[in-house]
Amino acid sequence: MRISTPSLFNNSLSNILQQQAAVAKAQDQVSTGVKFKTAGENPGGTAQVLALEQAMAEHAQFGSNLGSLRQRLGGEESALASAGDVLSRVRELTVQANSATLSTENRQQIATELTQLKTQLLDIANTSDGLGHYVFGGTQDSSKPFAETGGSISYSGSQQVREITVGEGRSLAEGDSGDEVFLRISDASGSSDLFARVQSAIDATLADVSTPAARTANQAQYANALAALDGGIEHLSGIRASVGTRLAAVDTVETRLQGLDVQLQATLSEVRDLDYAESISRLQLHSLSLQAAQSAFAKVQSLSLFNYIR
Amino acid sequence: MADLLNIGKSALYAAQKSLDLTGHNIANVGTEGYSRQRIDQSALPGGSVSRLDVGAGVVVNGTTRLSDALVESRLVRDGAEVARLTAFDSLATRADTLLSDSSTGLSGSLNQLFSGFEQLAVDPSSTATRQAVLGQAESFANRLGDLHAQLSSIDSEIDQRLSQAVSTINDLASAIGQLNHRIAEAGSNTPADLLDARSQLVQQLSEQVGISTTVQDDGSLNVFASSGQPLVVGDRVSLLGTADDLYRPGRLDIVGGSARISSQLSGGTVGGLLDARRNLIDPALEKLGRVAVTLTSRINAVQAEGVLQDGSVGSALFSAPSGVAFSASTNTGSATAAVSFGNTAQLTGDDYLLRSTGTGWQLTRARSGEAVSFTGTGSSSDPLVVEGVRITLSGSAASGDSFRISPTHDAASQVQLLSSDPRSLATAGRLGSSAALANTGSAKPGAPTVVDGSNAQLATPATITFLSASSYQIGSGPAVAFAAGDRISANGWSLTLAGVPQAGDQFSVSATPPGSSDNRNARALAGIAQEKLLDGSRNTISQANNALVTQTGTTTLQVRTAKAAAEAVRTQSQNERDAVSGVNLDEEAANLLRYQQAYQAAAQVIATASTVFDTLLAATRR
Repeated sequence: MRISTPSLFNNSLSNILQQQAAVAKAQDQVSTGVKFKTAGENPGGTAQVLALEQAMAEHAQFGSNLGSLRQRLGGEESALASAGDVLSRVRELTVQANSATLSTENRQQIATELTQLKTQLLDIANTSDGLGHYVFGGTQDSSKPFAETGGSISYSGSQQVREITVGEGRSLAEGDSGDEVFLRISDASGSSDLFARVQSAIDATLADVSTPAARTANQAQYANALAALDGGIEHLSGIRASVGTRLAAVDTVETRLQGLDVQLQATLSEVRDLDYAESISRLQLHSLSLQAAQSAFAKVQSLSLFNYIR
Repeated sequence: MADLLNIGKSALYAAQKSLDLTGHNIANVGTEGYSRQRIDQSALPGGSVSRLDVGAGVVVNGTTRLSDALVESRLVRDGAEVARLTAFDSLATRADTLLSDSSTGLSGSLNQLFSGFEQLAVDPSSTATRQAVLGQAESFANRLGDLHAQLSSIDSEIDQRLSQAVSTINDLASAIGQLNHRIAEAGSNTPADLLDARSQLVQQLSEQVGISTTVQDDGSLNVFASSGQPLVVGDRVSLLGTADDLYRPGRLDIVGGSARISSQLSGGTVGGLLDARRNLIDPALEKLGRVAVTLTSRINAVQAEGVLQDGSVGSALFSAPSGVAFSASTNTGSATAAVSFGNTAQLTGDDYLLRSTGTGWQLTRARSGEAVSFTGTGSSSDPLVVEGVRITLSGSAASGDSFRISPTHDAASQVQLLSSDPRSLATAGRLGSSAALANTGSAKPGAPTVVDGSNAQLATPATITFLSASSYQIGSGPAVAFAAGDRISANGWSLTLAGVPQAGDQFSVSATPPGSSDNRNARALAGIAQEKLLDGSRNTISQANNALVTQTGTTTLQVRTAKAAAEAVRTQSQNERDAVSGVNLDEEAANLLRYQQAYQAAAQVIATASTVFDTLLAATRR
């Protein structure tokens, strides 16, 4: 085929330009570390990257939700533990008070301490998380949920608690409402109100034991109060166990989420990130081809019959 | 002797012409579109009819332009295709980068918005969190507006480039007309360089717009645009012009004669610009607008299902985009159309053309022209409903009047955050439930769900009293039978009980009081991320946005691949053309030597004739 001088020149030149474009692309990939930057370079890969990034953003949010959940459940658990301690101390003092050898004065002292413990229990029921939220207020947690009026305790919090999303379609209650914890003890051994149960122990301690008949009646009073306290302690530990179960669930979900995230990260990296070994050798290959094209251009262009016409 | 002298003279003349032409070829080695030329010469027979007759030398008939009309026309076609794809590719690449890049695309701000709602569910009463969520909502609205503005600026650049192309087309057509005139006048004596010049102009014209050509008997070339519109006939030139689009003011239509021909033009830069608008920019704007409409209307709807911290019902967070109906500038009736949205899950994003038949309406899809079925009459009580779009007409339309219904094309530019008050986020559910402390059963009420938000009694406190474990009454209403798992419904709400109720147990339902840190509605806002709101409930908002990004990318890739292929084809045709018409310097160098030698030889012939004559004179002098 006859080849014209312009096409010889243009074809050699366009080879050089093509190799230059390939070198520029390989260089861009090596310096950015990703295989593609826009959907136009790899539509399928971009679709995958966008979906993976969404999943990872979601997981990051679930992870932060789990953190908040752990902190709040932890707060509730320590409040429940303190309440349990208070009740154990109440029980201990009640057993101690139920002794014939104690003087009225001694029993008065115990009653005073028990009253203090009851106040302490109320304080625990009104525990705040330090950020202005009352742990046992349900969804009305910006003011103290429990108040004492005329010796009886009233609850002004909400019976609802927030659920926190920890995964797609999965959520956990972030607490227990105050009425559930302190006012709804379902065993029949006393009032459903925990504070009333403590009060019954105080009442037993302050009862009149001057006559044998009164003493016998007081024994029954003590027995009831102790049974009610045991019921209360059991009720609290039941709730504590359910909090513990949720905390365990938080750990399980978190572990699973982290495992999943590692997988997502690996997939994302596989789809988007550059194989440096492969790219650098490609860069070298294109550089070499460019050099070859340049040198061929110079050689071919120097050939001319005019060089020989003198 | 006189013959030999004449023969030598003709040879000298022919060799000199050949040398001149070789020089001309060498001079034009770099001239775009130049076809190499050859001297067309033949032997001159002698005067007599005799076996002894010797020819009279050589005669130069003229110059021949070496070209192949078929290859030339293929090159014109290939050049037009490359120009089309180059114009398309440059616009597609910009749209692709815009939508893909994490700093300009929608994906990142969508993720952030949903993370914000999730954060709001964790900390509904924190003002800082609320403020942050509003910030995310605002940057989402801004991102939508920015994307719309950027895509629209590509769209208006298309108009600018179209009007540039129209003026270039007119210039080229005029120049071709003038050349036609000169070529027709010169007839068979037309210099080759004029033909080259015209080919070159035709090539340039085809890079602007797709054309077809025919050669007339007088040698002039007729040029027609791809729409069939004549551009050049002989030396008469029909100019193209621009006019406002029939429907969309500010957008250009190309006009030839009195007809709007934009929709029929293809090929060349003009074709590429129109293809990019039709297949990439418009669909991207429409799909972006669809995401904007669907997401904002859903967020607004969920806001209205919740209550604010002061206990009042939530209101719209974003301004709701509305569709646009453009009246044709040729309409004679007084009818106007308004566009709103119905079931957004059915939205396609497509534009429609609505045409009055005099007695009713006809609806077609604007891009494909296919007929679309609809329901309704168009009155305000019975709007035309098509694929989630509601069209209301007022005034009276004349037969043939038409509208372009553009539901979502510009919706992304209309989204605005309506409130900067952090309290305006409706995080709490509307109703709460509680169980009386004196209840003896183990039943606990679930959160009431709102079934009918418009029920006037919705927020009225209600008490559910169990008459026995298997029946209850609401307030002092009639007894209703109850079995475990039954939903208890009244006043537009409904709830379920977990556990077993006992006779005398009471549950109450009431409006969420002020100051609630309930997060049910915040979770509902966050849950929008997972709701399949689009494409007939098949895709989530994010999936729809990803589809937009991927679709644009796919189109861009297709165009880029096609462009590379078209360039290869054009290179091939160019090589073929150059093989025939291109100048080869080595060849010309050889010719230069050859004609130089021919010239020297011809000179020698004259010298010989002179010597022979001298010899004769010397002989007769004796």
